[in-house]
Amino acid sequence: MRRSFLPIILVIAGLAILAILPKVLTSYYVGLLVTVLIFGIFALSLDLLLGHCGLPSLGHAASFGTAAYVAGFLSLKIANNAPVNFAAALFAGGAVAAIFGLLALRTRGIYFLMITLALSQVLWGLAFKWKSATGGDDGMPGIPRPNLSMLGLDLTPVNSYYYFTLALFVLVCILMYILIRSPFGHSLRGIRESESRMLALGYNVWAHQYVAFIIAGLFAALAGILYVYYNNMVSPKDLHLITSAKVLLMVILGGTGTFLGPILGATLIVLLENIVSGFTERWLLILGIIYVLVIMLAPKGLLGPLRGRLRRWIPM
Amino acid sequence: MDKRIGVIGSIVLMIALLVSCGPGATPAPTPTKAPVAAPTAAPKAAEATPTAAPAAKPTTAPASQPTPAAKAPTTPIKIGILTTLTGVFAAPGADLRDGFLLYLAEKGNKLAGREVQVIVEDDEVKPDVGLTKAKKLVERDGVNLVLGVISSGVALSAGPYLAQNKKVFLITNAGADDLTQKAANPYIFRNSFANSTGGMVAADWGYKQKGWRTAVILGSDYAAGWEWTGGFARVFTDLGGKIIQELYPPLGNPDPAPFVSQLQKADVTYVFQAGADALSFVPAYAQYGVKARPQPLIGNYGITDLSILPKQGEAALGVLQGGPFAEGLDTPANKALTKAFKDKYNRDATIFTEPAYTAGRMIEKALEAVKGNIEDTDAFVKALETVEIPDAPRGAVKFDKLHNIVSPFYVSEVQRVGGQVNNMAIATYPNTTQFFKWTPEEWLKMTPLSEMKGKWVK
Repeated sequence: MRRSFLPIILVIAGLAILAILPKVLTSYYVGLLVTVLIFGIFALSLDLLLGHCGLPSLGHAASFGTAAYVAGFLSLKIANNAPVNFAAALFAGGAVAAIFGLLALRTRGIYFLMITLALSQVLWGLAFKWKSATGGDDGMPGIPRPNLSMLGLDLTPVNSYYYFTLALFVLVCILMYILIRSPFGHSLRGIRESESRMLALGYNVWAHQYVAFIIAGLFAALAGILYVYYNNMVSPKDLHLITSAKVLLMVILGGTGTFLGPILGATLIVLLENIVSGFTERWLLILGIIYVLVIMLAPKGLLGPLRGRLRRWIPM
Repeated sequence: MDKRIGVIGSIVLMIALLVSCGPGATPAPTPTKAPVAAPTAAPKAAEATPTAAPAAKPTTAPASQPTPAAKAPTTPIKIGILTTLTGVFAAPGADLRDGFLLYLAEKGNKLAGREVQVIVEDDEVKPDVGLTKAKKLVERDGVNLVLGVISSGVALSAGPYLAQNKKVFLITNAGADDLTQKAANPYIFRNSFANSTGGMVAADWGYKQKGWRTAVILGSDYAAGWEWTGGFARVFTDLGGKIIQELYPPLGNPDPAPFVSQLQKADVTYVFQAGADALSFVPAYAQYGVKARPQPLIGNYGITDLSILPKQGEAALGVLQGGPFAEGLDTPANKALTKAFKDKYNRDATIFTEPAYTAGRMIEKALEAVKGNIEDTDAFVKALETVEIPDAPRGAVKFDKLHNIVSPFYVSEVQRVGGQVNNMAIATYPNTTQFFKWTPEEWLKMTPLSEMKGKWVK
């Protein structure tokens, strides 16, 4: 019996720590935590593709950035109507995934990587050049936080935005957990292991992957929306290959196909980027060394070696 | 049991990691290493350590400085330099940083009697990273002022945040017109230039002195390229000249030849190219343009900037530029700066050095006016607004009402002087503002130049 309680206790303890942190940290670190949570969602969404479907996407920033631009544009130029803007941006992010999925899922492996990369760079080019709508290279500064005054919430202080993000983060974790434990999640992993066998068993492989691609896009879109409202600005960098590569690294560093891995990877990279860079301008070198070490010593990611042990208690 | 230890151990490790990053955050005077968190009782440590942070209160509320000393403060003034140290603009970013550090070193690290502590942060040319770093400088390090910024995107994202927190933001490069026009703000100053001005000076000089009547323009395809070439085109067409072709190669264009060979015959070619683009463009233009069909080349002042000029070789001789500075300027202050920079860093000062260096003088002068009390931000802003430096390396400088620099602008030419190739000024436009010959009201009514791309050829 004790075994089945342990994960629940751990989750509650983890949540309690996350809930207490803003009380004890300075606002700068709360801000970093917001970034960690947002990239945690983003990395989780990519892991659905990479870890559970075996589809290495190098264009995952497409949904992230599109949703960010739509949310930013609507809030800045039309009206700060939070529910409508959230819905529209989620729809836009999902639509991008739906269109790109149609094209990208015809390929596998390295070709999938290349085509997702190419497609997302098209959107980056659009954001970079279409000055009148997107602000071009300069981006769109001055985007207000979502207006939730009808709920009695003011998201301007970083602490309240942190709790808002945390709530959505927990929601995403629950949804993702249900999804990957569902029969649908199992069949995704089955397809990852052997497409031909799943086909022979009568599964519609393409449809499974397509739906997973859109769901991943929707979660990435949510991360994008949270990011644009947190930063109060959006720029073409949010759609760029660098963003896609960064989130891919987070997933690989933490461990693909695990639940905590992407979150751990996101935590590590965000903190390293922001804290190490304050000490030395050679921080990229340090980051590079860490990547190399992880790949050499723990090729399945940081959670890889622990995975077998952890699985006894925590279904991942 | 040992398995459980594994689980708990890993979680403790995670928390310890989070926490150990925490204390590194205490506003230590110098960026020393983060103290390693004791690996015992991690959750408790999470609650205990941050109390160690003394100035842990500056939340986002735009409250005044937390330091209680209102008069005669003796603590060091903290200045944040937000610049680019990785990526395509790493070299300009370092020149900017070192320009300011050189001035500080000359003053023995003291301005207006107060010690100065500098914290340098790298924005990676990414607006979101720049914003995070600005937050770090303000909320963790508690800086009194932020200066620097190579990229306009970063300046546009960090600017509103800094202004909201009542921190003076002195931009020493980023040129987007908006920064001191539509996005102007009491706390934002810029002592470098607005993008469009250099082009306007070049057009005015060329039309009046050289008799150019037709021009082709070619600019890197992003906001700065559109604004520099737009400034040229607006003044040139306003005077009666004609733009007969517009070309916009992408930023970071690997091969300029296809664009250069497309250039049509006109009295002059005006270009905006920066960094590696400029490095390859100038020789390509000599190969496919000037020699084949003699047609003068005039550009932004970075097109033959001193960090790339030696590599451009003979091809650069005779290339003209319009801008707020020229490395070969014959002023005593510029000669001193050139020499001091070379002695200290063993490389040439560039166009990115001068504004950062002059920023040091401007800050010092404003500080003297408020007796070193930078904590009184509003008084400091007032003092900075009235600062005038008659003998900066580039000449007499001051701020206009929107906090953009008013300075001489130059038309310069690449010449060989005493065996060394350099950018030598050949014409001066004293006291040039960002509105050039228009009033601010007239200027702000016109379409922003960054939206005029593709509309110049009639």
